[in-house]
Amino acid sequence: MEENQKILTKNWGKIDTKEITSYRKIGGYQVLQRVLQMKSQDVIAEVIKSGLKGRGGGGFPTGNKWEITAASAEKEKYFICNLDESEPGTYKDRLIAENDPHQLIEGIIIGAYAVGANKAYIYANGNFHLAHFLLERAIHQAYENNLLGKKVMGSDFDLELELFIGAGAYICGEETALINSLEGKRGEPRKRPPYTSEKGLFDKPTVVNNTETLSSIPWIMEHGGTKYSQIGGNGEVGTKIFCVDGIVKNPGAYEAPMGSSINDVVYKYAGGIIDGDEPWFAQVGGSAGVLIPFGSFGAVPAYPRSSYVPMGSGAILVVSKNQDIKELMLSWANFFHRESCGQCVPCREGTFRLKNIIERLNEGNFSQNDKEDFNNLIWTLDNTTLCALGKFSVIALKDVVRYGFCDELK
Amino acid sequence: MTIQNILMKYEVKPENLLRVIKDVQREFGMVDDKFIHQIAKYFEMKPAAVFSAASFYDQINTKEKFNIVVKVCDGANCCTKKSAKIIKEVERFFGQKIGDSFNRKVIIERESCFGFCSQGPIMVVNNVMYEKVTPEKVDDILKGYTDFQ
Ligand SMILES: Cc1cc2nc3c(=O)[nH]c(=O)nc-3n(C[C@H](O)[C@H](O)[C@H](O)COP(=O)(O)O)c2cc1C
Ligand code: SF4
Ligand code: FES
Repeated sequence: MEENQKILTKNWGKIDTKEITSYRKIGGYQVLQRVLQMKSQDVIAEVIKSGLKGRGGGGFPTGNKWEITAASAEKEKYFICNLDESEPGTYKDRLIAENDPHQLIEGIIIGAYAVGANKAYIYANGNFHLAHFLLERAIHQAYENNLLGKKVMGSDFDLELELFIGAGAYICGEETALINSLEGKRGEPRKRPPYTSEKGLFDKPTVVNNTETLSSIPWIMEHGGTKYSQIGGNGEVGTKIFCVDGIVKNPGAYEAPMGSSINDVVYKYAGGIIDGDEPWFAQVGGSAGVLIPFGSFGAVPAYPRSSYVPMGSGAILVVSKNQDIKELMLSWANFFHRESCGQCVPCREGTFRLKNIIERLNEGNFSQNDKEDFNNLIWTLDNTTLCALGKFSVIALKDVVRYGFCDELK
Repeated sequence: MTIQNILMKYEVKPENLLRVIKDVQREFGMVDDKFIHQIAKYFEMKPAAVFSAASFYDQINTKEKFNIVVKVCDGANCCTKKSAKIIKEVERFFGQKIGDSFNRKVIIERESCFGFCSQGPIMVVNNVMYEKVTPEKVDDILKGYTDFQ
């Protein structure tokens, strides 16, 4: 396993992100030219061979996702890059857009070609102002260079790409909510089926992929799926950007091979723990992520939901022994209550009541009744909501109970 | 810029609705009833449908306009960097609690993660972002806004 293989971050700090010429000088868009001469099913076969899994958190195999939409007989299809990124502690997609916008756009064009979509969107988080500016400019220059528009690079493939900027809503990262938002509706998740791959944007077959997923594509097409599949370990392939924060010496975003343990990321990349402090646990995957006690930092994040450390967004927050756990519980509860779209009752009411109970816990007014309600609400949110936000809202709280991190909840 | 200028920039198609709403918010600091009706007319939609979309988002204000909007990040990362103390400091400075809107000039809000966690705690005042905010710095930052009122 090559420690320093860089795929996503290889150009960071080395190119002028405002000029397409800078990306082209290092070979950018050459692989697109080759891809446009391939049959689309061969492009998909290569991505399947790579073993790449979606980096939006779900870990769905990217090639297989493309295959479903490519197979649809419908002529009009859409391709969407998800840059809504608003999981607390996560900012890898923002950095990708800011540091190498063209590698992302090249990935989008390849994806749209593979599935046969002639219209693509980037749905960007409303707070990412620098990324908006750079992407607008990059898209404009791509049009001028015939990488977008009619007959891309002289092929028979036409593609329009537009930047769409959100207005502050975590739930719009969920793909069906994102689609509603793009259509000018409230950003509320849709019931499934029908699936996005069959009836997505404007009821047409649609692919939604995460920004990090798509930025991996040009490298895969250049070096081959087999080579990509050889990077990584412990059942996961490729590289991943981890956003490491908390009581580490060098907080930041680091690209590491899949299969790296929490310890690897914290000590090899983020400089280890701040002198004089001691970790209590790490939260992996953002506020929707599990808690891993310090003694288990040797564990490896992976995509299956059943893994001991589900990867989620790949954020790692190392929390100090001195942290007031009740304050952190309130931050989680406030977040999910604020971001619940309110469409279904168990989530709307459940996140509200959970927040109130945790407020009382912080004020020292936590009663035996509250404790019972707390456990009931956790069950309800875990099992009865329309979209995954309900489940997400109780993952960390369940771990607080499981590990006995909060005396009142023991 | 008038609302007409904004509307004329956009074709009438669904994916332009939120773009118009955002432009109006940026230009006028709110998207109130009057604007909602004008937008609805332009897109040939019911005002209720435009309101329902606009009011969904954190960055769109469908109520009155505030002169000073202070948003303190309440995300988990900023929380471990003591954002609760920043919130207390801001509340003390203005003599009002988070969420109170009685004075119509100032509003203090808890916000979800801004995606700049490693530079936290993050505070945003009238769309300007401040990084690594400490309780000691709060006064200085906020005075820069109140002095003009
Ligand atoms: C509440 C919620 C929030 C989500 N937020 C994001 C997000 O910000 N970015 C993202 O790429 N995927 C997010 N997802 C996952 C998307 O629904 C979708 O699975 C993903 O964009 C697919 O891309 P991938 O296959 O490349 O991972 C979210 C899902 C849920 C349930
Ligand atoms: S679970 Fe929550 S966020 Fe998801 S649809 Fe229901 S109310 Fe909305
Ligand atoms: S948690 Fe505050 S910016 Fe991310």
